[in-house]
This record gives sequence, structure tokens and C-alpha cells, in this order.
Amino acid sequence: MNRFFNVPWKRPPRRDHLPMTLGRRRIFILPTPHGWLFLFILLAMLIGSINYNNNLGFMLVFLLGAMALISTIHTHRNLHGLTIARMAARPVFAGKSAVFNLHVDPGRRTRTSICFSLQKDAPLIATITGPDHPELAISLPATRRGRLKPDRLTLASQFPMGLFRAWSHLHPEVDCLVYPAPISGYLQDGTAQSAGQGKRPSRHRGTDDFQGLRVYQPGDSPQHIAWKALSRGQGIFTKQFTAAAGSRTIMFDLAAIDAESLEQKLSILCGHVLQAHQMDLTYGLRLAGQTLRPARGIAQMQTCLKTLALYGLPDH
Amino acid sequence: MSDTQYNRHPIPFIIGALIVAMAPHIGRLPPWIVAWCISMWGYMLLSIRFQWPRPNRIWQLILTIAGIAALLATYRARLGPDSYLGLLAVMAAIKPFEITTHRHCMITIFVAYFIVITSLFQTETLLMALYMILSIFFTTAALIRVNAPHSGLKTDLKLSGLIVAEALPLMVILFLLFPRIPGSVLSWSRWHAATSGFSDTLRPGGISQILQDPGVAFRAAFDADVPAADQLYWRGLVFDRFDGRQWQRAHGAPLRQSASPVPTDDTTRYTITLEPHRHRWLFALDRPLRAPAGATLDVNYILSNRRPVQRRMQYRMVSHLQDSGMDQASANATDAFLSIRGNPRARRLAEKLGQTHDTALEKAQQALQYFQTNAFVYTLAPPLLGADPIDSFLFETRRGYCEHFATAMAFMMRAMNVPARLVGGYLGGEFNPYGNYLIVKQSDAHVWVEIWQRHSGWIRIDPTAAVAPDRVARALSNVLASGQTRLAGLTAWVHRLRLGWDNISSQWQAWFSGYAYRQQQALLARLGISSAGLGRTAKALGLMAGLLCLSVAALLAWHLRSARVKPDRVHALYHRFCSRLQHAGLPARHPGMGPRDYANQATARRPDLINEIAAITDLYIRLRYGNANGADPEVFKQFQMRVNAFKPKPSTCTGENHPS
Repeated sequence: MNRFFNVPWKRPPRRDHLPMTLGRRRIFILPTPHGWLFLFILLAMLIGSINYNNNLGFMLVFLLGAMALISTIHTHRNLHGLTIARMAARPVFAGKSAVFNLHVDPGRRTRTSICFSLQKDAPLIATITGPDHPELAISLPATRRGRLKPDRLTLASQFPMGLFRAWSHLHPEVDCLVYPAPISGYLQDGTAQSAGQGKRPSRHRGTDDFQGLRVYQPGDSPQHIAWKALSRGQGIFTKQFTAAAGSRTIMFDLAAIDAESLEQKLSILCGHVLQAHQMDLTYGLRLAGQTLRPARGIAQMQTCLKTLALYGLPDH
Repeated sequence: MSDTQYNRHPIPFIIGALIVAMAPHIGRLPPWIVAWCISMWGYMLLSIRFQWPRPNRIWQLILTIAGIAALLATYRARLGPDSYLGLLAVMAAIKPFEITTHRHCMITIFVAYFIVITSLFQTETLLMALYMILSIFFTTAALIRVNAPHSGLKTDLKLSGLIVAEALPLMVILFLLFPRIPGSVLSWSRWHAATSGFSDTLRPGGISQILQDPGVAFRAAFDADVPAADQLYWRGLVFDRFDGRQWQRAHGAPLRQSASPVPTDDTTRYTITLEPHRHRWLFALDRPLRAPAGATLDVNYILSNRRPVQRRMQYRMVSHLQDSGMDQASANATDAFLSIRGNPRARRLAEKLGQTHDTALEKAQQALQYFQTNAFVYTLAPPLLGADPIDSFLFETRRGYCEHFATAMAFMMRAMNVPARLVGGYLGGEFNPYGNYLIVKQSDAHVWVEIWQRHSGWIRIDPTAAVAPDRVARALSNVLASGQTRLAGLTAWVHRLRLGWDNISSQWQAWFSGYAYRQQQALLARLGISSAGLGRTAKALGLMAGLLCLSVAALLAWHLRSARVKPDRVHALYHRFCSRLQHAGLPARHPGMGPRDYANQATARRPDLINEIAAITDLYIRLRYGNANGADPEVFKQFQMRVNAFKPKPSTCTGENHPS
């Protein structure tokens, strides 16, 4: 969103390189609403103590006040020295959630109830005990194709007393590749230009020629997911079929797609690529100004999807 | 972890904090509220344990209404600290039912803090102060649990203890330096705790509750030795008017200082620390010579403070212990000390006893003799008296304590035409060798008689001592017990412990309760802040803020440092490594030389040390340049071990250009 409001006085934040350790100057701290309430109660009690000249009252107010003050140190300390070691996300299709995996090194002490978030709500609260803590998965909705750069990563903590909130905003140099949302459908006339034998692929969804299973890739049709294997807890696999395996070669051409907008065309192409990959066809991609030579396999699919994801975007 | 699990988890801790906070108030709450709290909290705990249903919103509403109705029935319209405490307790009892979110937890914890604070309006004893700190410690542990639901109980307690311990020095700074103001801003009345002691009236059987009260009335520290035990009559108030049933307190005119005899010697000087009793009278050894500041001495030798004693107060006293007999002050008021009403049989008896004697002392002797020869019994549980209390005491029950004897004696003296009055106060006290002072308790309360004798003035007569010498002996034995106690074994040990604690806590209380505007000014003057008025306040505030910032900065530095290894230590170890190589005969490291170059140079001369030199250099580079935010402690430990183990011998063989 930020790039549309790139006004001079609000420069894009400098990107932080990982690994990145939180230093003193990056951590801010302010009372929480509960903290304000607590301070208000203390103030009322202080006035009462002054009025009654009650030394026990003074003592108690000062003890609680000092504890609130001390708690800021502990809250600050909970974030200070925390290292964000790695952050990465696997590509997703637009409309899904991008999942950023975060590897956090707590240093020497346990970091209790740290709140990680990439957007205002839906934070992830985790207590990190050691450097071998499993990666944290923070999701962010991927609305449009392209490179999704999280605006900022917020680390916050109210530990231990909940009266103060310390936070730090990070702008890690990380992005998530967002493929266009695939529009699935049969490959149609005109969209596929035969480049080889000219034999048009159609009706190649035969389920009779089951070849085997392979590890699920984003973009595999849910219809082909091996649900039995999944339900047995063996992981996500995709059934592969041999129906269309072989010699046919197709070129998908952007210009040949009939749709209202570029985004729709790209989505349709995306669907085609996925389908062609599923059928294990040899396919290529022709966009205005660039051409991907026909090939097959996962690498080809990924290259094609990436090209579609970034097609026509300014920073590519 | 589901939401309900999360929310339920801290509730037992919150209830625990509420119980700890509420405990010191139990004595002030009506039994039904205590039962209410126990049952609500008990149900809540059991419902968590056995997955019972929690009361829903409707039930919560019903409970709230029922609780408030019961409160109204109990306290009616009497708004005050007790009804406020009752409301707090009733609400705190049902509060856990509605805990579903983090916010509810926080608010309930604040309620617990609030209950802790309420207890400060009771007493300012050391025990209470310590208990409150303990209570805050528990409440804070629960608060930490609320904010870190996954940590263990031990971790919570440890962190809570750490926070409290770190806050204590800041608390002391604030307590001493936060600007105090003289007097009270608004004259809101203080919240009163129930106190016991004397009141404006006296009737036989009236003070029996006091006599069983172990509470401390006051403490007295003498400048010189403690006077003889039979001299320890602490004078508090005088009762002069008798309406046939009870005695009224005398209100005398202020004593003119010229009329007051001031002997130059033979006086006893001492300091009294009086517990608050909400009345104006002060106690002093019979007979006080001068009033302390802020109080007056009246013709009855009664000290009267300007304001009711609402808090612990300390005053200096001078008394003359021997009956001087020079008291002429109230000579013209003697007629007022003769009026009697009712009790015809007692009057006839007195007239008969007094017929044959002239002087007041002889008549008094007759009365005392009557008590001694007619089987009167001293008891703290006397039977109730009839409409003419003195008649029924003298002729029917014949059982009673000081009040009974003293009222009967005074009545009889008046009937014999001898001016007489009652004096209320205390007798004796327990000597505390640890602090060199006397503890006078409520149970030492005593009433005696004064009779007027021409040319001598008011003379003290203690009928109780004549009838029940052991009552007085008991007081004496306490005084005599000073130090060489006659108790044995554990009892003696407990007794000594009790006296030691009383000393510590009374000194604490004298200092703590007394710390106010004047004491703060004295402290500031001693700290060298001399300018007066606002300048001093501003300087005190500045000092306070400065000390606070320093403490917080020191704590912050300490907390953040503990996470990493100081670069100096890394450097020092590397330096040691270099100097050891130098000792082994290698040239010193050039200041500008990088560690890698130095290692290459060293290994060229001493190939036998290549492994060690390479490893240490490698670790050093990792520590020094690896992470900008301090070194990894594990790597540092390894580095330290290697450097310390590195002790190369001077080379004797290899090398074409051997140094030396």
C-alpha cells in the first residue's frame, strides 16, 4: 500500500538487513490502557495519602509506582537483544495468505510472550526459549500478484506486568512472490498455439493412467491431491497422471487470450500453466517482449508463474 | 491452546492473591461476608478443577443484587470504611466468575491491589507493613501469570520477587524525598479502627472488656531508672459527678502555672508513645507537672491534647511521684466532690463507719477495713449489679474489680463528708529490657480514688490494692520481671522474642509513623539542602528525580549487560594470548597488525603451535567482529578456556632467525 502514498515527507522506510538484533534505540515503550488505569489509581491513592498524611499509604503508593517503573526495564529487556535471524516466505497465489517464516534467536534468556505481527490485528504470541525454537509462521493476506513486501514487522511485549508495552518496528528486506490467482479451465482453442506436431491437447484429464505421487506444489489442483495419503498423515502429495505425457508442445500466448483486463489474462494463463504442468506437457510462454522457451517440469512451471507474477510491474 | 484454557489458567492465582489481600480484614468483616467469599472462591476453584459450569450472566446479576441487598441490610445507611470494605469483599468474591478475557484478569488484579491498600487505613505497625509488601508480592506474581500464561509458578514468583526487591530502594527514595506538606489538606475525618480504652463515663463493670484486652495502650521510656513499681500509677482522667449509677468525667479549668508546684529536684522524666485512642486525654505518671506542647494541664491534673489522638503520638513528660500535699488548686471546688445520689444502704453504712473518726484518712481507713473484713472477692467476671449499683455491690454480690471497689469507696467517702473523686488510668506495665521501656497494656487499666484532706490536698487511695493485693502484685511482678524473667524453657524464649519484636516494631513505628513534614525538613537540612520554602522543595524534588533516574539507569544497565560479554574482556584475553606468545620468544604484535596477519606471522615461526593459534584467532575474530551486539557467551567461554590453556614453551630448535 505504501508505495501509492509515497509522498516526500513520508519516505519509504529504510530496509533492515537480516540477521538483525534489536538494540536500545529501536525499542519504544509506552503505558498500555491498563497501565494508564493503574497510574490513575496510584495518583488517586497518592492524593488520599497526602490528605490523611498516611505513611503506610505513601509507602504502598511508592512501592507500586516503583514497581511499575521497574517493570518498564523488564518489558524493555524482553525485547532487547532479540535477533531476527531469517525471514522468508514461499510463493503463494493471489487471494491466499502469504506465510512468512521467521527464525528468531532469543539470545541467552527466554523471551516471554512476544507478540509478532505483520498487520494491525492477528498477532502471533510466542515464548521463545532458545535458538532452536521452531520457526514462527506469520501470515499476511496476499491480495495482488507481484512481490508482497510486508510494510513492517512489529515485535511487541507487555510482559511482565501488562502495564507497559514495548515495541519495535522492523522493515526486513524480505518479500513474498505472489502468483496471479489462477482461473482454471480447459485449454481452449486459440490460446494454445501448436508449435510442434500441432496436435491440440484436449480432454487429457483421464484418471485412468495414474502414474504415481509426487510432493505437492503450490498450484496443483485440489482434485489431484492424494487425500488418502493426507488423511494418513503422510503429507501432501499430488497424484500424477500420464495421460498427456509425451511429445506435445504448447506455447501460451498472452496476446491470444481473450479477456477484459490484463490481470484476468494473466490469471487465465496462470491456470493454463498449472494445468499444462499437471498434464506434464511441454509448454512455453509468450508475453509481450519476452518469451519463455518450451520446457517441462517444476522448474519450468515456477519460471512461468514467476514471469506471470511480475509481468508488467514497475520494479521488475 | 484454546481460549477457555487460557482464560482459566490464571484464575486460581488471582483468587490466591485476593485471599492474601483480604486476610488482614477478616476481623472487620461480618461473618456472612467471610462465608460468602469462601463459598464463591471455593466454588470457582472447584469448578475449574472439576469442569463445573460457571454462573452465567443472569446468575452473576442475581448474586450481585443479593450481595448488595445483604450489604444494605448489614450496614443500612452507615457509610464508612467498614461498609466500603464490605462492598469490596462482596464484589471481589463474585468477580472471578466473570473472568473471560485478559482485561477481566487485569481488573481483578487491580481490585486485589486495592484491597491491599485498604488495609493501610487500619494500623501502621511494622507487621502490617511487612504483610502488605508480601501481599503485593503475591498479587504481582498473579499479574505476571496473567500476562505470561505459559510460564511456571516458580518463574512468576521469582520475577515478582525480583521486581519488588528492585522497587524497594526506589520506594525508600520516594518515601523520604517526596515533598510532604505540613498538616492535612482537607479535614476529612480519618478512617477509624475500633479502639478500646476509657470513655467519658465510668460505672461498675464498665471496663471489664478492657481488662482482657492485650493491646498496647502506650509505651514509656524513662530517662533514668524505672521508678518503683508501686509508683507506676498512670493518670488519665478524673471522674467527679455521680448520678447514682455512673460517674461523669470532670472538666477542670486549666491549671495556672503559678499554682502548680514545680520542685526542682526529685522529678521523673520520660517519653510516652501513646497509641491512638480517639480521645483527647493523655496519660502521665501521677502527678504530671507540665503539659507537653500542644496539650493543657487542668486543675485535676489531667492532660488534655488539643485534638483527639487519632494517630500514634509521642510526648515528653515530667512528673513528681511523691504526693506533694501542696495542691491547693482545687480547694475551693471541694463541695462539688461531695454530691451523692441513690444507694441509701451504702450511705447509711458509710455514715455509721465515719461517725467515730475525724480526719479524712482515718475515715478512709475505716472503709478499707470494711472491704477487707467482709469477704469481698476480686474477680474480672463479676455478676451484674442492680438499680443501685453500689448497694448491690456492697451488700449482695461483693465481687468485682477495681471499678467496683473504687466507685464504692469514693461513694462512701463522700457519704462520710470527705471530698472524693475517681481517677482512671493504668497501673504498672511490663518492662522491656531490649528497648529499656515499659509496655503498658489495656489490661493494665485501673481505677483508684483520691480523697481531699485539709492541708494535704488530694491523696491517692487504692482500695483494690487493699482488698486484692494480688491485683497490684500482678502489675508489680510484671515490672519486676525486667530482664531476669522467672519463666523457663520455650515460654521464656517466646517471651523474650515477643519483647524483642515489640522493641523493633515500636521503634519502627515511632520513626515511620512520625515521619512527616518536620522530619523531612530536618533530613533535607542534614543532606545539605538548606534554603527554605519552595527552593528547598524544588531541590528535594530534583534530588529525588536524580536518584530515581540513577537507580533506574543502573538497573537497566545491569539487566541489559547480563545478556552479553563485555568486549573489554574479549580484548583482555586476546592480549594475554599475545603476551604469552611474546614470552615464548615471538616478536610483539604491532599495534596496527590484524589478528589474522599476526597469526600468520606467529605460525610461520612456530609451526608447532599452528592448531592453537589458528583456533584462538578464529574465536577472537568471531567474538570481536561477528556480532555487533555483544559476544555469544558460549563462544566466549570456549575462547576463555583456550587462551587460559595456551602456555607455549619458548622454542629451542626451529627457526632460521631465532630472536635472542
